[in-house]
Amino acid sequence: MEEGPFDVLISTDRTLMSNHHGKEFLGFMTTGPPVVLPETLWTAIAAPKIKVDRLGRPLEAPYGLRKIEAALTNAGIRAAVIDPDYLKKHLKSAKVLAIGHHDYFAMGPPSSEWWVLTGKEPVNSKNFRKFIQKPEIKSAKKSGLKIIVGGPAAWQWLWMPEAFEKWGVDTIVEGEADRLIVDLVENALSGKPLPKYVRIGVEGSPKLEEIPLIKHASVNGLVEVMRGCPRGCRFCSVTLKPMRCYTLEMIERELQVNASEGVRRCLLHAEDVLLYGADGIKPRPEPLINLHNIVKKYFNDVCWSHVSLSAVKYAEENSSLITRLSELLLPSEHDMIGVEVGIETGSTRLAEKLMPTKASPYPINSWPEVVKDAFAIMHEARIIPAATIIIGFPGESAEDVMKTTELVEDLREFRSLIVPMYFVPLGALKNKDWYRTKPSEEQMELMKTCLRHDLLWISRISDWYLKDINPLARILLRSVLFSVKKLAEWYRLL
Amino acid sequence: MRRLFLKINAMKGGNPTQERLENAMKLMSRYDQVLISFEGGSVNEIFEILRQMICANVTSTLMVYFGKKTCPEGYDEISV
Repeated sequence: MEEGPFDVLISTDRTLMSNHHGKEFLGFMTTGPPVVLPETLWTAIAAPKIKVDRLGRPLEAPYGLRKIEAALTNAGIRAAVIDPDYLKKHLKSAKVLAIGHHDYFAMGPPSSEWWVLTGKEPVNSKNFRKFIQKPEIKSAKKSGLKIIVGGPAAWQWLWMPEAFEKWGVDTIVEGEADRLIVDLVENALSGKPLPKYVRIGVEGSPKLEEIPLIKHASVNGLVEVMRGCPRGCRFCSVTLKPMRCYTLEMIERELQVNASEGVRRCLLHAEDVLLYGADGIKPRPEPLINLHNIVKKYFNDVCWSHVSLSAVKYAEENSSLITRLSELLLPSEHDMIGVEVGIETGSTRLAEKLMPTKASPYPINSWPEVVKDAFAIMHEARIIPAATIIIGFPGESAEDVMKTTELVEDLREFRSLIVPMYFVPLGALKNKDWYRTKPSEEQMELMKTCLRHDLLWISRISDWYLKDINPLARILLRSVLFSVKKLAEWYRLL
Repeated sequence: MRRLFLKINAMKGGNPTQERLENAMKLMSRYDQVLISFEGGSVNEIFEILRQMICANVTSTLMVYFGKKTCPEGYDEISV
């Protein structure tokens, strides 16, 4: 391992430089303001400090930062991911600070929604502000440090020109930077002018063989298995990326990195894990079984990031694949896994307009049935969906929202969590006041229906999910859940 | 690879006009890579133009510089 000094430091604030007690869903707590607990305690539960080595390098770091680190070190550049608390000593000699984030200014979902509902700034944007205003960064900036910002929330900087200028950001990079970051950093190191903004389009996205493999452990053993999504939903930027499936050899090398550095679990990441090796949008058993067999060689504790509900239904109905994968991943009847899924709407009118292939290979006008069937399949297979609903779509009518509310009510019997999220309308963001728009009566009813659903299931789910975390954190989280339930009863929401 | 050098005069006084900007965005979509040079204009004004480009779903790779820059070899050049 490189011993420093490092020319390039790669970092982010505490809300992301954490393994969230090994439970990435706890990380979502940072998208809201603290509830019941004081902020320091809330942050300590959601994003505790991570172990570091003597140079301040975290033993686990966000996967995206690890990719940038790998790309730069492969090119012979002295770069390392550094924990935010240990930047000071490295900034004296570093020339570039590369920062990644999921939600710099809490403009994305669900942060923007919690901000509207509570009127309080979420923890993530507060933490980022504290991070970027560190005196050591300010001082290094005066000595010529170049700051490059990127990650999934890079777009937010275009709505924050004052912050861009005030904090001396040199370059905003939007898109898959695995390849382009090397040129940018080389230019920065040799004193050449940097572009202020870079947006990586289809042509600029790295080909499969250009995607670097991580060299050090990722948070909770996250390993990417594919990029892109073929469904083409109009509200999603991922669909603009070309589809690329990692080979099993590439995946195994990253699994080995995580296993050799002491990570004890694996989170397979893709926009739809079930489409790994698929025939278009139809999951195929062989590649998925092979993938999971390789993962199980290294890890007992395996979970997925995202799957699509139509793929769940197709996979089970055509090859009992969900049952087979569940048997492989969950040997004990007490085991469960959680996964993010997108319902988005219960209105077939809106679904046809905005996500016409979301239900494929089933017709989009059967979307509510696809959702219910997939929830039933996952319930049986002990897979817990954490589902998103999008409210505030362009052209959304009160009737559309009521259809979604009906669908959520129909899902009551299935073990799951359902989270309503505000649509983030880039075009309408120009005045920056969009996120202060109050929800309509129908939207409020939908939110209450989701809350009732979640409070019904969350105690049972948390018994399983929190069973092996720090006992103090578990007690505090249970007290938060208890208080939220009591408040909901007090306001007659249940 | 098709490359375009786009010079935008973002100085106050209505430059570039909306019509010229929209025409430029249509043209950009035919190129894989677009190098944009803004001459004049505040960060706020420049970001406003970039936001319009993103909302218009321009899929080319964009490299944006503030200040004058000469057209590199191998690039087509237009000015708005």
